Amino acid sequence: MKIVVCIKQVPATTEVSIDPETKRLVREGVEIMMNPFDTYALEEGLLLREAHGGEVIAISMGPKRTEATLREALACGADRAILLNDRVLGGSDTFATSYALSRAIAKIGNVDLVITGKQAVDGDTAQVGPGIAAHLGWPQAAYVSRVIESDSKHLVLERMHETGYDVCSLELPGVITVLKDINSPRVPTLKGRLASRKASINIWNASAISADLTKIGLNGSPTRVVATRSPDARDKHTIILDGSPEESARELVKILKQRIKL
Amino acid sequence: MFEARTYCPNILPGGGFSVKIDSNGSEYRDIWVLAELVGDDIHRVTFELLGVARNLASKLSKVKNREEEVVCVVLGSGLSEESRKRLFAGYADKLIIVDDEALRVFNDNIHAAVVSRLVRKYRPEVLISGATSRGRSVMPRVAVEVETGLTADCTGLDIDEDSGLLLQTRPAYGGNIIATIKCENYRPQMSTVRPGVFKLPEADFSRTGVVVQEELTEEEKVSRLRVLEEQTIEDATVNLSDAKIIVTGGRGVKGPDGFKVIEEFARAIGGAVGASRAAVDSGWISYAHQVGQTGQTVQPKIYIACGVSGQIQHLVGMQSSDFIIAINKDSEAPIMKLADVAIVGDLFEVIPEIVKLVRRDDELKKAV
Amino acid sequence: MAAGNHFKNFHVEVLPPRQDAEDLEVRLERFTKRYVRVVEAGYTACITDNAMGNLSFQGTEIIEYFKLPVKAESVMIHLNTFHTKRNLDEILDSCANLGIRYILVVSGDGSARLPKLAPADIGAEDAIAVTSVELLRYIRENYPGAFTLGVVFNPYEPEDHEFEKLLRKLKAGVEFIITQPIIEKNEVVDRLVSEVNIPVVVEAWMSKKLHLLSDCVGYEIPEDTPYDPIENLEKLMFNYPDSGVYLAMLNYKRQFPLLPELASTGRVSAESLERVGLGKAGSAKISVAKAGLRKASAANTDSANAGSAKVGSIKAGSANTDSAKAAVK
Repeated sequence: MKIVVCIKQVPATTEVSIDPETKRLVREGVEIMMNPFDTYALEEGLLLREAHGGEVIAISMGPKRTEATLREALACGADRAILLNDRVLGGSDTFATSYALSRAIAKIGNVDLVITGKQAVDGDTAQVGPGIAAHLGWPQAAYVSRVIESDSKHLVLERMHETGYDVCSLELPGVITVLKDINSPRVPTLKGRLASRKASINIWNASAISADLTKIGLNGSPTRVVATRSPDARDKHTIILDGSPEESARELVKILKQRIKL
Repeated sequence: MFEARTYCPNILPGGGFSVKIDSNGSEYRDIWVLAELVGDDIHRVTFELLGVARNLASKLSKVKNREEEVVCVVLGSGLSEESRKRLFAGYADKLIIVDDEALRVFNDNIHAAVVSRLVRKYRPEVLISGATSRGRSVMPRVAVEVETGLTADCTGLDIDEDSGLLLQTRPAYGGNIIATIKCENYRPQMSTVRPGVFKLPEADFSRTGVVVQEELTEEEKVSRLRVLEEQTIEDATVNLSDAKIIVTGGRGVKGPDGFKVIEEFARAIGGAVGASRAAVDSGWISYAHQVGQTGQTVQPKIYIACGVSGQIQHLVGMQSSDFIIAINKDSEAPIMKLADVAIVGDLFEVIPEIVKLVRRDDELKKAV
Repeated sequence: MAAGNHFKNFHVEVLPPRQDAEDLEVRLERFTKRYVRVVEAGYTACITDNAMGNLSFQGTEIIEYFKLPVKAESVMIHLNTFHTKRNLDEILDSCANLGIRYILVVSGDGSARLPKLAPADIGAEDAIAVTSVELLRYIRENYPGAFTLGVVFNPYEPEDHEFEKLLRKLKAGVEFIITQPIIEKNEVVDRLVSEVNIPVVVEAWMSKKLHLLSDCVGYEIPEDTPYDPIENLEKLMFNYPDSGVYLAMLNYKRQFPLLPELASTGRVSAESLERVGLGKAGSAKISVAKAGLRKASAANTDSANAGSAKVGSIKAGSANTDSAKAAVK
């Protein structure tokens, strides 16, 4: 099975750590990480490879520092890693991003399955996975919580929704987006990590993937952010309720009802 | 596979309104809402969005100086007369209905193909749907198939008075920034909106409208994704990051039994259960519920922290909540300063009182 | 079962490098040097497990890869609940194969990157979540007699709550206890030592920057609080003569050479301090730090307020001693 896993590098949550040399508190620590949903996507790819043989190729689109996250994928056991990196790819919205990734997948060729995480924790759109499927003209299954059966031609899987799940059959080649807890992502071994530091990562630019320049980057993005602002500052006035439980409950319900009316 | 891209700049120098036309010179018009069905019923988000669409249509009509309509697209099997009435009462002017056995079971691939075809045929100015698991599966596919932009999880939708463009607002960068997004040169302008972001409008059953029946093509009835079985789960796990209301238990809950009180509270107000690290470490509840730096970061509308002291590792996980309520015996606990409402008291005494009032209060029950 | 005397020793913490370290090879080398130094000096090398949820390498992995020497009495590994079952078994098998006896079982710090054991994974279906208690039971059942297991005790948590947790851990089969860092003397630890009949190892904070400890204990310690770690260590050894000491944030360059003298005499001479370049800080200042921590911990032992730890002004807080030492490689 030839499996492509699409990975995104995202900002890490603020970590508190102490630099051992200066013994000073470092609030940022390492600033980037693999999108948590994509760790599940990668693990699912590795599990399918273990079951059927084949290849797992990790791809990502981003600046040069994205290589670090691709190396982590290699350290976990991906066979190859490809970075889509080109100035003209910068500023892409989800349309342009899914387009570029779909061109890379087409260039890799003979791919059976594309796996992505449900969404990236910095954008939270969940649009790139289905977008890739649409660009490729392949069927999709989003919100996959379990792969029940698999062979080289199709997957039987569980697809979650708000009130339950469906059991579906997906004819390959296709695209799936996966949820957390679909599996338990493995942690890289020391051997894998050291090897990944020496591994070479293919870097593809826009012309390498024969990208239509009107569909990539800022210019290829149909949507554009035109303004940003801070959220309205929280009114720092805290209402303190310290009466009896009955009184406090009554007051709280009153406040909530007022709030809901607004 | 795709038609020529719907690139339609027509931007007048200096901004201002300009009519969007497709490659054939036909105009884009109307606000479309893609309905979501839950079995035979209509998801409430559809009605919330029809209300929004009504406002958008009014404003757009002013800018364009002609009548813009609200169109509701319904894909399903056996849509009842009652449902049609409700959609008109919910401010749809026109229904485009595709009623087919092949649509009885939800298949995002088929839905996307049909919607894309309808979009190319009718050329809506705006297309919106709920940001539910279904909406978020179908809309991105449609956006790519018709080659336009899509903005997910909008918290605001408006029409710009000068240009007539859809102004889409949504949080970015983990909720620390609010971004406004436009889709200037492509049509339709597409957005998804989470249930509960917009208020449910009052229904007006005096309203009526036009019904257009569309058919599935033979091609559209077949998909390489097949649904084999549908399963409903009683208490499907609520993802904390999607929850509108979260009730969190901390060390003050004192044990797994204490969490039963938290769970009951959450159920009564339609919320999800969160937990502080102290509670998880003590084995009172699973790590999946943990909110905080080493757990989940959440941004619900209402966050109720019960017996949580508010150590900074917890605060960073929930400080972006819209409205924070804290219940704690200790008035000096850090969370009490962050909260919008700080209740000083024993959670085991206060919570039952709140639950009692919520259960009795119909208005509140409806709202949540 | 080890002789009680074994624990009356220096337990020196050695932190594995983070997996994403840029200069990984350098940090691995530093780790191996320190590890070997500790083991050859006859102390116990204590290797942490993904401190503060930062994905790092496992001690067993590094030892196997670099074929580092293992003496049963000289190595202790931390083991937490943030592993896949497969990985957990690998680590335990490695410990058994390498002849590592001492395992400090902790709940640990999770993060988005780390997996977490599910109760069903380790045959604890009736537990809501896996904590150190369930992990203890699992190890006892599956590796009977192979390991000597210990747990952590936090004197800064509400006292009754912490003793109740300890009781559960004792029932699951614990043979030693390591405390969170304390200064000079701690009433709750005194109670612990008097009530349990298993070895207690007290933890000493060896960095001058005492305020970093506030991240461990969850109470603010002013940044300029003067603190002499060597003096604190002397006092700890004096106040807890039957206990071993766990050394966190040890300075390998300046403080490690003082350990032999401390081990034999319980004190460090002025000349020794001069030789490593540490002047004596003066004893008056240590009581300032102690007062601050004692006030905070007293507020915390108020069991009537068990529902809400009284915290004053909060800076950071984590129940685990590993929390402040995240990136120390």
